[in-house]
Amino acid sequence: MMIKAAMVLIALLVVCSFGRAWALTVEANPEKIPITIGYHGTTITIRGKGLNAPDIIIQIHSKLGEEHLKYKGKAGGIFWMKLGNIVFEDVPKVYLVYSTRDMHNILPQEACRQLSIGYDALRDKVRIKTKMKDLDRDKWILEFLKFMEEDQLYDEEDGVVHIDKENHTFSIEVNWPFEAPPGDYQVQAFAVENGQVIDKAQTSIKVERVGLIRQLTHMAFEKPALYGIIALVVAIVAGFGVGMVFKGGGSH
Amino acid sequence: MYIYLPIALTSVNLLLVVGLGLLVGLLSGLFGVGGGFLMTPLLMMIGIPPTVAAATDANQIVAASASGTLAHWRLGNVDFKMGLLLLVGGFVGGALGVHVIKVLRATGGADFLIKITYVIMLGVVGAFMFFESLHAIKKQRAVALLSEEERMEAERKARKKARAKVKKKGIIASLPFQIYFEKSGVSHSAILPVGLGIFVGVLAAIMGVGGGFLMVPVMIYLLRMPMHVVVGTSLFQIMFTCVEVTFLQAYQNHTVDIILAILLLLGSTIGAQVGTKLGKKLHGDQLKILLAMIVLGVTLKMILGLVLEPSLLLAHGGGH
Repeated sequence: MMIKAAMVLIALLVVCSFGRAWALTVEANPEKIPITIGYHGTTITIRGKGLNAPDIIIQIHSKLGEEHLKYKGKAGGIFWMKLGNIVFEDVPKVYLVYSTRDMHNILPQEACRQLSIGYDALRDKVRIKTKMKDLDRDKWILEFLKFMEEDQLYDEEDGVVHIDKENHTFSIEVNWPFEAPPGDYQVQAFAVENGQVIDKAQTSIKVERVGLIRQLTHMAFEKPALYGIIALVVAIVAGFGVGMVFKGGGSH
Repeated sequence: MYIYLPIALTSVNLLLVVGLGLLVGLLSGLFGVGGGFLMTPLLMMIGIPPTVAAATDANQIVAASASGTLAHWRLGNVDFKMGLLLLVGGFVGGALGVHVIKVLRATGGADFLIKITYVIMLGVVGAFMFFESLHAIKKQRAVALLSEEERMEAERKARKKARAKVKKKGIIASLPFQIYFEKSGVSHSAILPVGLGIFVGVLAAIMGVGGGFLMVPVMIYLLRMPMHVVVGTSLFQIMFTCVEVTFLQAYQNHTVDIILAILLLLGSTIGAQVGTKLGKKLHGDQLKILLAMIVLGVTLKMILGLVLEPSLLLAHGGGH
């Protein structure tokens, strides 16, 4: 009898917890971003409903991978130049984090780390591979974040997610960077109350090459000899063609 | 208006890229240089990855140098005989240079050597051309102020000096395979242009550039070719070098962005034609001093980049 009651209780808890998870929804518009010849990034609207919390954190990221970079330093104590390779492991290529207020006031650092939210969590998890002597981990992670922000691929901003308390909805317009490579991206929404995540939801964005861009990329990687010959023919024809046009001008 | 580049994975302003092509094409037509030493850093500045910038630059140089070669050929300014010998040397030197870099990369310190070679070569070539041209311009002005008698006396002295110089060339003149180059009006052993081609080829491969800015001074000062033939012949030689580089980069590294190349060559082919016509209106020494000033400007920028702390301590791989 006791066992049965316990099982019913567990089942109820599971249903309740699923129920809560489903209460919050999030959607991205557009969900598919086509990379066409005139592509220069786009604006994505992230919105959701079923919000019963005062704060929300939106996190967009690609899957974790490696970033192979060069580090600069002083050679011979005089010249600044690239001195060697440095690899950052377990980092996303794109990482955008937005919140209603200062993240540290919404959610304690420890919770951010546990749930892998924000730069602090990233700092803990990233691994560095390099032959650099006396590696200062904190310094180079900071440099990495600076480098990725410069390329518009990383961003952490407070006070940019708007909440409509009456309708229990939230929204944000994200300037999607054209530097973000094709691929699948996760969009996560976390509802936060009293320093705890009380609900979460997720959706995805797909960035893909289409049309001419897709065909050229395919040819460059799958038929490189043909691609190289076409590049040369175009250049030679253009060069001689313009030469002919100028001759037609009759200046000689 | 923006356009997306499929290999560079970035979006660029159409007018900016065509404008860059126009500027570099103008320099190419004026001076007979491929412009690689200018274009690659400029492309990197607008966000093109270094490896894609260098490979695509070689592709657009094919167009600019083809356009420039045609224009100079029509003017009778291409010494094909000399160009082919320099080309043979350039190919051999290029292969040697690539091997040298491989060995250096394995032992470490290649990047340091590349950068220092770049700065020293650009600085020496630029400074030498600048002072030589300045001296020539001053001399011409002084001669213009002389009386007829003084002018004849100066010319006699110059002829005497030139004869002494020819005598000094003893060892080079005694080399076998002497050939007369009608277009350039000079006689040299075939070994000389092939040897110089190898030398420039090695340096060009180490520095990752086409070598036009090195080849032009070599033709002027060591092969004693007239300036108008130097420009046409240099473009002819650069065209072939860049055909080889473009194909290899596309085939082995997949780093040629054809859309970027088309945008650049739209500007550069027209720029090369305009440059060639403009070059005809300028005096040889004026051209040389202009090129020297550009080379010295690039050198100064590189030195500043070496001594000032960069704002970012991380960078993508490739490039210089």
